[in-house]
Amino acid sequence: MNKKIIFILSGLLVVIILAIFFYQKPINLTTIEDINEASQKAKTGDKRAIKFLIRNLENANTDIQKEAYNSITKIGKPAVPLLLKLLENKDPALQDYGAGLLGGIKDKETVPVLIKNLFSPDFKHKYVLCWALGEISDTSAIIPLISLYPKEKEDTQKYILRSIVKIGKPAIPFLLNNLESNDLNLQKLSILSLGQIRGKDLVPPLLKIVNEKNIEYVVLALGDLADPEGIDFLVKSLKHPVWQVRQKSAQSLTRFTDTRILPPLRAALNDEVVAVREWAAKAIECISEEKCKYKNGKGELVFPDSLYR
Amino acid sequence: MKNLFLLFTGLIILSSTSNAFFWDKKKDQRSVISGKALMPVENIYIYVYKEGNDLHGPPYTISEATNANGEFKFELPDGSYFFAARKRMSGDQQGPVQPGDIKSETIGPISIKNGKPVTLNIDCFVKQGDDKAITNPLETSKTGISGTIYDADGKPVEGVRIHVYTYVQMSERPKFVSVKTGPDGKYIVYLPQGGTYYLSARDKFGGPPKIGDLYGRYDQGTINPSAIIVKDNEIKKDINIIVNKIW
Repeated sequence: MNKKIIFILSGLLVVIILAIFFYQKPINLTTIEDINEASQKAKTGDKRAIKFLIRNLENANTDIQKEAYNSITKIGKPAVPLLLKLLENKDPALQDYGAGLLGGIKDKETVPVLIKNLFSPDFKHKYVLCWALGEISDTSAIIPLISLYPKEKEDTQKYILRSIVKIGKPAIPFLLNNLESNDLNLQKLSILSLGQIRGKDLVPPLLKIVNEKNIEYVVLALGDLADPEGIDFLVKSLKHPVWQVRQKSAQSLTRFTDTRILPPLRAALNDEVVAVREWAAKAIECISEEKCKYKNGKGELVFPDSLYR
Repeated sequence: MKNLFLLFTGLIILSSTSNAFFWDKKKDQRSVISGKALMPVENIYIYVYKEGNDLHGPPYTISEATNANGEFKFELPDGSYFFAARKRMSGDQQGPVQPGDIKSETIGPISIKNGKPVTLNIDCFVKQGDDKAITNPLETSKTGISGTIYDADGKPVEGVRIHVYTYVQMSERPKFVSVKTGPDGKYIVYLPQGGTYYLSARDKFGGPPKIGDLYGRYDQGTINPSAIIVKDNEIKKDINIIVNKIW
């Protein structure tokens, strides 16, 4: 009889011990203190603590969620294997967290997996992968990002552009190669990225490929480069038949300091389109450091809005 | 019996280590700030700003909501702080205070030192006028911008506001802010006059977007936002913006 009771009690105890050992606090009861404590443990590579933080990425409380996110970013490399597994999850939100966190951790060894997912139909929000690759800024991502650009939606294209710019100067030769592409999308990426990366001697290749389809992008890139070699083209574009080109030329001229640009800009104050007149006034103010009025839609002489006033 | 004893011992050790994982707490010295929002006001939040920070930007911290007697209590480390009480009728914790919301004047700077408790009694009042930039959703002029806000999956986004700026940097307070989008994600912002405008869409007010926030800018695939040129008496249509989660 005694043996039977001992046997039952022992069984119960084993069950209790296992329950305690494998107990995980429900995420709706998680507090910021729990996250902080798990974070300390996770830094030493404690997998259970890392898993606890990852589970809390789905916490309904956004403060806890953000704290868990920030904690995982700080853990760094020990969290990488579990985050790579998140990329394979069927839930797009968890895929995003995986990619976003890998971007935050910036471990170059994860780049091949991120690139592989760029072309996987199972990974839904490609923009997060593009963002992550930009954060890591490894040159091996340049070609995959460029090749993905023409196939992607506008918002993903924007992230590709940002990531290429973030990778910076090593991307210039690849962008120059695509400058003469027949694909306007690739041309656009190359023109705008070259402008933002601001390398040397980029004005001649841009002026070589300019045409009526890409002139607005070229004008913006010349403004970003702020290389005096681009001034003549921008001044000439102030008289372009398309008003959007004239407006963007005036906008790009705000980046220069050469006072020889002032007479053509003053002429642009008489443009038939208000937006061109407004940007000509802004450019005059930027170059001469003197306030300049323009004629608004009602024919009144007004100052343009300025961050500096 | 010996086995039973061993099992009990094991149980005690395991439960103590398991608890230690979650509930070991180290507390650094902090001062207790307590007091009352005088009206009294239930469910009001106390916004705390560190001295030198923008009082219209994100606060250093926000208290828990006050109780039925308007009382609050929270802790702060040493420093110099400003305090303001706010209760938005919309239930939001961020964004411009609207007419009908409850607020206080800003109090401070108050120096908090060495864990010494501080009592604050904050006079609150109902905001009367509206000097903020939330635009009227009803037609107030013939000039404006309209479009739809989509998410990364191409679905319309509810609960997002359009922020309208007049300068490309988009770094100061927006000149106009729309009401929140409905389930169809559509918006319209009426403007007093034509001009050059820059648009962003986001689900939160104030300060730079943070991780998890929905944010997007109107641009034509460029890094910098694209200018939207609106003529007088023109409603510029199809200015659609995609909002993505910020990482």
